[in-house]
Amino acid sequence: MALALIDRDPESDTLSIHRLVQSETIYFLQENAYLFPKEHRLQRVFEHASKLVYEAFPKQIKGRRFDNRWPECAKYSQHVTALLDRFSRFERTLRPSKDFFLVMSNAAWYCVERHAHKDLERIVTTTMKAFQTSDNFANEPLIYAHLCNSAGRLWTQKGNFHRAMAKMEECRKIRIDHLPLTDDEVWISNNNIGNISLSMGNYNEALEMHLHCEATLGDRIDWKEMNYSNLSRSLTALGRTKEAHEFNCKALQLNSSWYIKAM
Amino acid sequence: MLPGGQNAKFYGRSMEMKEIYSRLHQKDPMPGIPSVALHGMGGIGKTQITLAYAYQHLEEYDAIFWIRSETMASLARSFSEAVVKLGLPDTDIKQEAENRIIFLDWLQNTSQSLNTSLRVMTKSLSAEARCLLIYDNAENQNELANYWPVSESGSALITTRNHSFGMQPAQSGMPIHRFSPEAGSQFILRILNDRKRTTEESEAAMLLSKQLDGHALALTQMTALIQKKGWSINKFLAHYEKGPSNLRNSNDMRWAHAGYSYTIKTVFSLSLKSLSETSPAAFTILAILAFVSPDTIPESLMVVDEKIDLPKELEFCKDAIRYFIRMTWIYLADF
Repeated sequence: MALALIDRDPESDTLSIHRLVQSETIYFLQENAYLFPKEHRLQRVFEHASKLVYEAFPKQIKGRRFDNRWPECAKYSQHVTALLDRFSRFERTLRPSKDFFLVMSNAAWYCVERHAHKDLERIVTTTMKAFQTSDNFANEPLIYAHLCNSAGRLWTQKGNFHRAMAKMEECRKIRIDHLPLTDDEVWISNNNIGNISLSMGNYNEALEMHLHCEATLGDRIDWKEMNYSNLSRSLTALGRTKEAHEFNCKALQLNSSWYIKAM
Repeated sequence: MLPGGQNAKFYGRSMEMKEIYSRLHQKDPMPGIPSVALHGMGGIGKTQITLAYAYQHLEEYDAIFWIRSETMASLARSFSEAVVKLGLPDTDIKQEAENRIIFLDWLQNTSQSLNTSLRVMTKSLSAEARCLLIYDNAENQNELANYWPVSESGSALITTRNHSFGMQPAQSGMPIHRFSPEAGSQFILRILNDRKRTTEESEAAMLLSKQLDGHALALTQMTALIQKKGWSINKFLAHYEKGPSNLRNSNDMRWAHAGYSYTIKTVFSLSLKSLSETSPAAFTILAILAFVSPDTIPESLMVVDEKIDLPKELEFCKDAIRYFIRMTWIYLADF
């Protein structure tokens, strides 16, 4: 028996559900919890939803950008936001799951890439608060570190460098405590702190950090040009223009994009 | 044999009314009685549209029969009442099995006179008498099939949540959709027409219409509550946003029409309870969809690679075919 609770568009392979059906289903779960086995209770359903949204949304792996996966991110981002809204509305009742934290940390990074400050701030604020009030803070430190990184990027983009530095340093500390020093995510934290130092006018600290990044690059060829251009900027700020130009040429050889040319 | 008087609060739906008329008056009709199944979620306005249609086209029909179709028992009862109203000879309201045959037979051979106690008839039926049969709230196609006329004269409408009725026994199905935000806001303001219409109230009506997503029953009941409490729409919105749970169970019976006494809560809880009992997996899908954005949900969200570790309740997500079978329990219609 079809119960007319969901619409389907066969052309786009999408579903839609009336907002009242959504709210009534959640009320139904809450008010009739005693009728259901555990797998149908609100908490469990929330965990299932978090799992499916996490599996669907692209994953950020070891600091790599989403870039050509933006369309896929866009397809699911509204559902991540909706999941966050539901969690916020029922946060006294619902306990966030690992999948919830994971998908929020991936979605946060997508917002960083899009410079979607409002969405990013909501995600990091709500999710970090949930982290701190749950058991996951101790159990999943690297997910929390990832959120700190995104929060740091948020404040950098908004020009609040002190706040950005605090978050980036918190992120780096967690990563250093839990990952090998040669790990990609440790390198990224160092790189980000170098950039924020530069923005704050701490040019010597910036140069020191970017030189350390250069020394620990290893075989990360795709990050070489970024490192060279960061070194070029740091040296320019210090008035060491000849050395800056040399690093800029090295960066251009690896990547002749307009950004590097502009440097 | 209509269940109530004309609904003074009925609003809009002119396109739907025209569409029903057009489908019941095709130039090249299909075999069988001209018929349309209006389908959609509970509370969306299917019954009210059908009732309004009946009143609008009263003169066109010699008789209109309202058949309550939720269960076999209600179908049987409605048919029995019809034969009694018609004053057909040798009938006993308690003999439901016989009454079914008598009424179907009568529909096929409409040559008897009508009993003048009928509310909507004043003249005798001729052999070409036109009848409109309205099967309201049909649930089970097999049950309805036993009460479906073989006659090709007259017309039939079905109201149902199940879009399959549009294929069988009706000749076509017509989905009934929610009001647009503009239509919903006009609906609210029309009901509250004894008030001064300010820009703030008009804007608030639009917000409320969006909040209730154009759902006819929700709009009716929430507007009734606004009227009852003497609140402005803005004040109501503030209360609703704080916590709609108290408001959703409100039911001012003065606003109930044609015996429709459901609240927002009850109209859905019946479907949800039924679904949770008959198909727990489909219920799981619905419950999960309650946590995502309501629009443009990719079906791929529910279909997962078989290598992924999933809890037992989500195992069906690894099998796209099983997933789609589950979905047929809760689909409205393809559009």
